[in-house]
Amino acid sequence: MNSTATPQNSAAPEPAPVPRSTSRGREILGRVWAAPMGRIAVLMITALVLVACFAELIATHNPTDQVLTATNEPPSWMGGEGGHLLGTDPLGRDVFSRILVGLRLSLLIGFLTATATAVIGLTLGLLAGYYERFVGGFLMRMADIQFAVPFAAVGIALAAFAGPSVVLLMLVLAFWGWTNYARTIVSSVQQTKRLDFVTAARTTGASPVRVLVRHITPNVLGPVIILWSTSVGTLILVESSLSLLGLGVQPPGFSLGSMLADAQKTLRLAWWSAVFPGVGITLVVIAFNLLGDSLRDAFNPSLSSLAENDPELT
Amino acid sequence: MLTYLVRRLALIVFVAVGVSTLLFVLVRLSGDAAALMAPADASPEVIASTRARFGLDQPLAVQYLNTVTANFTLDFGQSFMFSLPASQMVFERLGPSLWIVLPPLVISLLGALSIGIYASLRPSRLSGRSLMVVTFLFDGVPYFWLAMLLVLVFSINLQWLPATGNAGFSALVIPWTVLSIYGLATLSRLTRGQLLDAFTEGHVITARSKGLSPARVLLLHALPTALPPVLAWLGIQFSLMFSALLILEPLLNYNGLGALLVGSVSNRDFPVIQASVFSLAVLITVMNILMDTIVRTVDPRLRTKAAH
Repeated sequence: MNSTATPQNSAAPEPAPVPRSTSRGREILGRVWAAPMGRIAVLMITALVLVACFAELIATHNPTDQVLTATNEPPSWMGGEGGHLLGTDPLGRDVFSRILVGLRLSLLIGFLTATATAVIGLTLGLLAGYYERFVGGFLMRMADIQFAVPFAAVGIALAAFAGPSVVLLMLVLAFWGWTNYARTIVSSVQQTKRLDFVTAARTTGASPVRVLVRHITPNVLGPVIILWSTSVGTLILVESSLSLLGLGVQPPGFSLGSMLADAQKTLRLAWWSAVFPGVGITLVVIAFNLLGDSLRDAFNPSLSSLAENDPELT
Repeated sequence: MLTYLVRRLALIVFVAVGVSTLLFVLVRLSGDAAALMAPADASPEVIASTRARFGLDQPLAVQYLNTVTANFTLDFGQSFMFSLPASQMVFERLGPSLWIVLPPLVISLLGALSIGIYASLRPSRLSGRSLMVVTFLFDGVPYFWLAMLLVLVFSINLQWLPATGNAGFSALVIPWTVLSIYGLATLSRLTRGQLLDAFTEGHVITARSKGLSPARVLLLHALPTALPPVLAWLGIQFSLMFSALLILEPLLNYNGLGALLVGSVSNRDFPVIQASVFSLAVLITVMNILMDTIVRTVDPRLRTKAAH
């Protein structure tokens, strides 16, 4: 991926110093790739995304075909018939193929919602930190209220009033999640705006928008990216959990979560249709948690073992 | 300390008003409030009488004031389904829900402290590392899937535990296990991280270099430094666990607040929805304030800051 920043000499125990000329983004990516944990995360996520994109090519059966003569067929390695790698569900659909295709919707929901949340959270966090007194006070009190109301309660109530809809769910999730971002960045926005280079920009006549975008945002982007990466997994979890109550993805569409919801009723007959989609969700969440952790290390090298070796810190 | 307490109490009032406002706005946004508050497929006459009964024919400002003041006296009206006061139904379910949340909360704290201390004392040894790998993996396991797996293994296959219901102690084993693991995974990683940071702090290094026993260094110097963020997270964990109840209780047929809320949403039992969300919000706020106060008492750095 980014071979320039990986250690050229693997005999040396410390990571190679990152060349100063590379941009900050490349430097971070290089650090992520240089750490074993980060490399595993990147490889896992690449594999998951590839599988989701080319699901139909890998799938052994049509994921929506209901074969009523082959319902609750155990996995083929357990003696099931019809070559179903992970068995069939109570409607005779191939679990393996459905997991591959269901992964696509789960990842899409996670990516889109996480990105929307990050944009809203970054914007409101910047405003709350820049206009400390009124806007900031108001937004942070809003955050206090939102914090006290579990999202699931809001999602459930809204879905019941407005009818279950994934798009609505994603919108509400995006508007609910901003508090995490705002709480995380608001104090560093407040600190950054008092630094000399920001004052300099302001006195030369830069507009508030320009100051916020060009001068303050780069300084708070780290935590936002870290939060984004862990929230992809969390959001996929939330969608799955609401699917269990019938409020997530509606048929004929299906995600890993709605597969779990379908399987929940027939746990006794076909455990494989509940167990394997759950394995899929777990893998996705672990991959994004790993990425979040390695991004955190990459942004704060002082916390990791890099500390002694990073020339910029000493 | 007094100003601190007053400000915290004001926060409860503030959250209560905020949540009432939120519910008020949500209901008004989703169309005809009277049709929404009336039971599903009600006739026009019933909707009209609902409108009159809830004062929905009055100006919005009056409606808003009435709603907020009624919420503060815990008067949410009668449940449509059971013709009981909604607040009474919520209070009856609160006990069972606390009973499945609080023991796992204590277990996660104690477990996280043990795991965190053990792993932070051996950060580079195999035992410490593998413990962290295990907690990391469990952090990715969806709690509702874990519950389904436990039901599958212990209730369906082995038949050791009842799968569902409020059938005494044995029915609590699965929810307690699920929530404990849910809390343990994050909390033990946090504890270890905080302890490792604390070991690099000046006063802990001083304590060690002046020859105190490792146990004294840990208990009297490192742990008090590491504990506040862990306790603060416990408050967040409490609200996370209560969110999880909304999914777990229907899944395990346990009759708590979560199942009540989910059930009353599908029945469109509006007074009960309002009462449950309101009580949940106040409960979570109180719990967080409690944790915040404990953190303040434990952490001397915050105490001096408050004196300024």
